[in-house]
Amino acid sequence: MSVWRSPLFLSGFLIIVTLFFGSIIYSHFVPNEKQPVMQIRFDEQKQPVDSAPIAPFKEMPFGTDRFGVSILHKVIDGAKYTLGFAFLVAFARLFFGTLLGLILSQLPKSILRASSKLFESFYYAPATIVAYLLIYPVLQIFTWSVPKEQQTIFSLLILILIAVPTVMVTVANETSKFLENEFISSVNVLGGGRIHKLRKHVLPYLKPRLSILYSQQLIATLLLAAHLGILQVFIGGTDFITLDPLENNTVPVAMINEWSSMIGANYYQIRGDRWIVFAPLAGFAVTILALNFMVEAMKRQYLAKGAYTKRTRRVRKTKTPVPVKKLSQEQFDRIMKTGTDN
Amino acid sequence: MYLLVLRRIVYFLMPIVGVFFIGALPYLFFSNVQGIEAVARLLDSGALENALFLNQDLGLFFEPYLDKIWDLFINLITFSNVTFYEYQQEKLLFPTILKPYFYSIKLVLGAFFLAIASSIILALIIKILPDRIQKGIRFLFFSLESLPDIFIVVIIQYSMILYVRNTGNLLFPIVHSDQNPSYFLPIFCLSILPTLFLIRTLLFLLDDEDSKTYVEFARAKGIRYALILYIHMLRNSLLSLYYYSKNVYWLLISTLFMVETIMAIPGITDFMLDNGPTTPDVITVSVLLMFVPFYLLFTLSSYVLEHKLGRTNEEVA
Repeated sequence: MSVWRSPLFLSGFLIIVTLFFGSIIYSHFVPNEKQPVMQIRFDEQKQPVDSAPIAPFKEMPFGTDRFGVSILHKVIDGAKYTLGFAFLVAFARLFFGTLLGLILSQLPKSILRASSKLFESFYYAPATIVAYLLIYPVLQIFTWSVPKEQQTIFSLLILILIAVPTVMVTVANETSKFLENEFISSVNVLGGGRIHKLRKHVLPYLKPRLSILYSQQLIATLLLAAHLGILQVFIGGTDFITLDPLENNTVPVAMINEWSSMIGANYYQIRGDRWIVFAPLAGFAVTILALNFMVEAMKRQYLAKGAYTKRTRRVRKTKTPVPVKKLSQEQFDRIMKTGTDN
Repeated sequence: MYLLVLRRIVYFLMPIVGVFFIGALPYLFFSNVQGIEAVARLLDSGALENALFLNQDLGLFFEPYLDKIWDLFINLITFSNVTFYEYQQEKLLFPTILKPYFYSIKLVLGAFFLAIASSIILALIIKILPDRIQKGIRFLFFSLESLPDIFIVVIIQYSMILYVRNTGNLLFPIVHSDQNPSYFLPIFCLSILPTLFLIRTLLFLLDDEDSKTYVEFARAKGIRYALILYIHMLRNSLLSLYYYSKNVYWLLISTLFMVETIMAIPGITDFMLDNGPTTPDVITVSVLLMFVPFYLLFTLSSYVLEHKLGRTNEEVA
């Protein structure tokens, strides 16, 4: 049975596709110039009752932010940036990681073991902090000595490079484990070279595993983006707006409606106007849930182990014992004489 | 024989060396890290208004990178202290870092034990439920596991606020302050994701155990299923659970950062974020401080287990 028939996979896939393409189509019909704005809310007698951050379920379905822009519009519009960014970064991670991993698997065994030990530290050091350490100075401390495009490319590269070692080691270990199979020695005897082995045997074996790895890297990228958003490092670029010129009250504002920067830029408002933060957070939660559904379905399909529900248990069927009938002496004697069938 | 021991030691030290490679990464990408440090200090002291003049190139600079790794290494071996700059004064890293470090260690250890205890209890309860309910609960827990950690922390903090608003008494402090250090809520938030992960793993291991012959034999002898579960199956699967401790550690560390940021806890990740960009050495030292004790523990216990059970880590994981 293919993965496409599994309801778990299909539901996850549909959610992701709807979010991504829905966002693109939506922003084609409602561009940012026509975004729904409501800065002051009036009641029936045209009396003003409420002003800019307006609570949800009153006029605007998810409320508005402090400039009066509908949150629903921002979340739908932002989905394509966040998801597109994650697709791109995860793909690049996987591409370079697989390439390097295949090369690494062809090197001597000792190098493979040593490098997988060495890069184990990338797994333990929290990725968010390493990414912050490298991206923050470029975007905030010496912003002026580097042109804008170079900053963006550099931060993208860092987000890609940070996970390449782990992907590389995973792929290399899988490949070298696979190459130990017995039929590989038959391939060698029949004259299959390295490239032939990689192309005809390893890649078909790796393909389903790579699709699982891709979804996992998507989740990791989304989480990393959300964390960086909280730390005021925005993917779409940062702008500063002065709210109150006299009191030097300057807040960072994201240049695009991207989810992680929406969380980060409005985090200080969580005590008061929580819906501004909760809507993009819910977006993240739904996306990651859908991706996890896909991962789980693929795991159940491709790998025998690791599913969260296995086949139902056979052992635990309790059966009530058949009650023993008490026989009278007369019946007993008759059965003893004639047998059970009269 | 000596060669074998030597190889083991080299493999053991490899991840620790890897931490140095990570900590010195700014020197690989930035041409003038000392410049950043100096300018950040001057900005902090008010001598400078902006950093417009600072010239910095991005690229790959292998020579300063390797030099820096060597420097850090020598520093660590000779136990020389690292200085960093905070609130307009030079500070020594070593007495200062210990306070946030111990705070974080307390949180991590507390969350770790809470996660293990609650996951064992919950997994055993789930396992003896009827099949249909079990399936539903497993699905629910799986869905909860995929919630992002920010979401969980924010929701818990917000639900505490709602409780205060409605009843007027604060159950647990939701934000840290020096007079009123908060322990329970951060530990609780930290332990949720590891608990869900451990429940899933433990249930998986117990399911695996179900098909083994000793369970069927015990069933055939008429021992109640619950009894077999509590005594034999749990004991057999707990040892295998150990091999997943790396994942638990990873979950704890990555959530720790979020908890500390949102609840304003002055822990080690907070310290790293404050001083990391200006003094990259801080990152190396803090990651080492967090990583080495746990790594020693993992390696030692995996050797002990390997000796006892006769199987290696790679075979299982």
